[in-house]
Amino acid sequence: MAPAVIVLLIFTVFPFLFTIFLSFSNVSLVGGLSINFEGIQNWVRLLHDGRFWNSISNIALFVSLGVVLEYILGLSLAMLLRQKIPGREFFRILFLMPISITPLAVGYMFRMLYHPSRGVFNNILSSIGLPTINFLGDPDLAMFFVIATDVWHWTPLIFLLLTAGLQGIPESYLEAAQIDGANSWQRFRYIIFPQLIPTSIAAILLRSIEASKFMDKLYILTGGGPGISTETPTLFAYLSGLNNFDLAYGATIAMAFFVLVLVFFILTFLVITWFGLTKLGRA
Amino acid sequence: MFNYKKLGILMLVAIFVATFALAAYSQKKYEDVTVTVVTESGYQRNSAVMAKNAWEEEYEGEIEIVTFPFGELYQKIMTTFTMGQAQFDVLIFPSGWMGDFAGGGYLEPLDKYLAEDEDFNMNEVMPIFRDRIIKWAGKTYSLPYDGDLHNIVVRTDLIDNPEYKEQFREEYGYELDVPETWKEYRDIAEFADGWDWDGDGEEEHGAAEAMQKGTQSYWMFLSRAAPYMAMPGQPGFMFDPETMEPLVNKPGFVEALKAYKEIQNHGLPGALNVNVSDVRDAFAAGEAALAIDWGDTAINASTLEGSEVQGKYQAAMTPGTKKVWNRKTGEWYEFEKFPSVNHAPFLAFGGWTAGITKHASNKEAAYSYISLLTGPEHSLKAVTTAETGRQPYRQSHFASVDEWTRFGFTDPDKEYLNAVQRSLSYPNSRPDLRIPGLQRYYDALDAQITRALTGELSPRKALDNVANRWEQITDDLGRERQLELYRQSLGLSPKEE
Amino acid sequence: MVPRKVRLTLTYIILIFWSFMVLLPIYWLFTTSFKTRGAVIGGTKYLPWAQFKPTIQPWINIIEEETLVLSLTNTAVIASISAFLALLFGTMAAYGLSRYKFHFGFFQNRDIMIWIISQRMMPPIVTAIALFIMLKWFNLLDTRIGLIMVYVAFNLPIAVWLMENFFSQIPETLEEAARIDGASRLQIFGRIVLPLAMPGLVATFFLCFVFGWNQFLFALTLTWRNARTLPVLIAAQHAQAGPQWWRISAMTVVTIVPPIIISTYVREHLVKGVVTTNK
Repeated sequence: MAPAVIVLLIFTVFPFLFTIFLSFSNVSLVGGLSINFEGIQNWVRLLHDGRFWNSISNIALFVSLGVVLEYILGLSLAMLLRQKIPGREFFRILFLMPISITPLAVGYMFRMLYHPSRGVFNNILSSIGLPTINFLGDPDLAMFFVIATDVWHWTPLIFLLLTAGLQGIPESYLEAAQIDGANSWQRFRYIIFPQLIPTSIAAILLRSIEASKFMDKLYILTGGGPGISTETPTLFAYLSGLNNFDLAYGATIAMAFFVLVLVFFILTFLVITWFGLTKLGRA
Repeated sequence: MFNYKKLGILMLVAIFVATFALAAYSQKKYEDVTVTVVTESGYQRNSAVMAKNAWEEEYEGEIEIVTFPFGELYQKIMTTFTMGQAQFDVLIFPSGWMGDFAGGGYLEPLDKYLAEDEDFNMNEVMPIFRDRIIKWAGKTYSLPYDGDLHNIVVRTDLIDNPEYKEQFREEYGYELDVPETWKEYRDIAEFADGWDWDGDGEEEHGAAEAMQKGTQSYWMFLSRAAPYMAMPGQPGFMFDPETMEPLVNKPGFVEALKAYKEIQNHGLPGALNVNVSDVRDAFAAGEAALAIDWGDTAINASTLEGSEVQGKYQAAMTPGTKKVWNRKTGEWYEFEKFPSVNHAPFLAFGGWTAGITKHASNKEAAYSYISLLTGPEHSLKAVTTAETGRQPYRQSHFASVDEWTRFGFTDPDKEYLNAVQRSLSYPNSRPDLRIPGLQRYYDALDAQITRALTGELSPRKALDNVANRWEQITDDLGRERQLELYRQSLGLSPKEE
Repeated sequence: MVPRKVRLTLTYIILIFWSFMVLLPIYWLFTTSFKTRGAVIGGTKYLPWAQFKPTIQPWINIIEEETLVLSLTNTAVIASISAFLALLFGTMAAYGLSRYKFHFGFFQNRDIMIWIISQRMMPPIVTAIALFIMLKWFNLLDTRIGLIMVYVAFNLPIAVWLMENFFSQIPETLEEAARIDGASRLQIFGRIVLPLAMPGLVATFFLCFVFGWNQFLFALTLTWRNARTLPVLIAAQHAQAGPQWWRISAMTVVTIVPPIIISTYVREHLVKGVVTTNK
């Protein structure tokens, strides 16, 4: 176990503590690297920085709407493919394809599809007589189309997890219900769905955690634009810290964001255990 | 008596001289050399690739082109510099970064190479590039590569129409013509907005201008502000070169921001989300009477397949103003008779430029590449090729009208070249800011301008915010050093205590 | 009740629609990589031969580029070595945690496990800036070694978590029997546990490999040329003005094909792993 712990200490725990330190420092790269302890200035600046709170509200929208859509779609697809129909295996393999595609590549694919004048979507819209949409260029809409990209990419993961969950439901339950005269909706509502709750919670949590780190596709799709209307905390911290070389402030953004994420997930975890919805002990 | 001995010596000398001359004149080859070139991944890459092919054929070496998207370029180059390792040989970079690169001591001075480079013909390069943009603290650190600046384009089928001239005179009380001042520009935009004056069955708009945040639109604002602020004889207009005090919230800037904001009403629909490429498309599609941009709008309008305005527009120097803020007296200075208008063409962005790093592994090979890239012959080809993003900067570029006609222009002088040439040689033209931390200053400007454009803040308040932020950034980076580098960038002598 | 036939038709309509949605972006990427500049700029062209004449020029161009070859090698080397090390360390840790009791004060197996997994919750950006400075100290910026070490730490939590699950499925009675027969700990691990855990090892290795292959933020931050990976290389083709979509597409196809093939191949293992970890 030692090597694993050592690796984590050096490359995760130390950088983490170091980031905390950086957020209270003044870092300069002019004429060689120099780090000086400074106090809470970065944090004061952060609290008054509208751009930071903007990025927080963006990621909140992104995670909540994105994961909900992914869950609804993933569940629907998993239910549809629960039926033993011809071509089932083919559809499964196909539906799982997006998961392994490099996120950055997904960004490029959709950027081409979204292109205002040559993109497929606008071409389809105008050919059926509808007005075209400036998908990524409109600050009020851009986030929704960024979310759509994420839904395309990660619905398959929820589909995969829920399919596995569905396989764990004993057939005997369902047969018993059928004999009792339950229709398919009732069977879903009273048998399948309750059985799926633990898997669902795990899937939603997993996706929410991953989605909160969102940046790769965004980097290609909008780069946080138009303006800062799609900028996420990760991208903001990257741009401030590693692009503008304001390393200390970048560290502050990242750390503040992590604190918020942590608080959010601890609260969620408490709520879940409070209601006894699942035993997350092992996972 | 014939002296065979003398003849022998003479012959020996002749052979010796001939060998030398041959050696000097024969092409040097760099067979086993790889030169690494770094640049941006869009237009600049196209241009670098064109020269790569030519160089590899001529010198038999190899060029490796490493690209970064524009937003990453600065950071990656700076990272390799601060690492202190030789990574890249040639940089093709925006001249605004000269302060960081040359000022930081990371670039190789090129004067000694230039002295031996007879074909380069530096004399015919437009003076503002030759004497200022490519220099830093008296030395040459890059070769001129791109004649970037803003100009305006205006539809001739609007301004030359006698009927419209009549109407315009009635409404505004003066002749409809190429606008000389920003006020005239505004009037024409208003006049042309919202009706079909070119008879294509669609309503046209007034002025197409980029205003979207994060898309280089703040340069449009700066171009507009320059004549309000650039008092002839007072160098620099964004900072006071005596104190490094930001001038960005002075009345000249405020006036310009009001005008910039007002033009929304006579612009493209959804003006706040228009970026430079929308401007180019809209003008080429015949949707606007006026536009301000780098040369690309003109180039697209003439050379793009499917352009609706070929031969129907002309380019002009950016408009001027009737008054300018005199920062020395703290008052407006009114222009009345001669000159009646203050022009201050702004060399927005200052163009790309090509230099060699201090640590380049084979500096001669690297130099031969940038010399080819920017030399008379190849650069003419590049400036008259689509999607290289390069604009003319040599006399010979302006003189080679045939090349421009081949490129697609109907009347190259009127549609493009005269405006560029006039701006570049205008005495009161203003180079862009070139000090370390440039991007941080401009990000702050960009963010606040948007807030004024949307009406969230008054222009005055927004610019006060910029000034505060600029002061902070200057303090962060060290006021003394910034002031010194700012003065260097303006070609001023170091400040005496 | 809805007639079965109607329901089946509806099901197929939805399934085919979603299949179309899944395939469209991939199809578009693939065909764009065979387009000329004209075919990209001249409007929306769907069908090769009918609407545009396919060309292999973009492919020839990118294959000739050394930067692509270098990045491809970098990505393969970095992803596989880091996956192997993450697997090695992860397996050791997971086996230890599943078979022995640890006490560090009140900190026990379960806490260690939660601690390791919770590392995965932390957004990479939190450590990225610090890692940038650390690697600069060690002169490991833009080197494969630097990136490999960072990726190992990045993948460890997943490796430990998955392997711990696989180990806990192996009945301890087998090991006890071997112990009674006088086998050493190492023999038990090598002869009994490892072979049984093989499918899990394979799955975990490939999962880590794919994560490493696709990783972007660390690679973007910590490399620029010598150790530049494929995702960063394709990101670097991005341009505000005049992006060369045909070229970008060809490079992107090169980037996505290996993980797709690998994932489809090990999908069965992955599903097994996931099923058991979510009970």
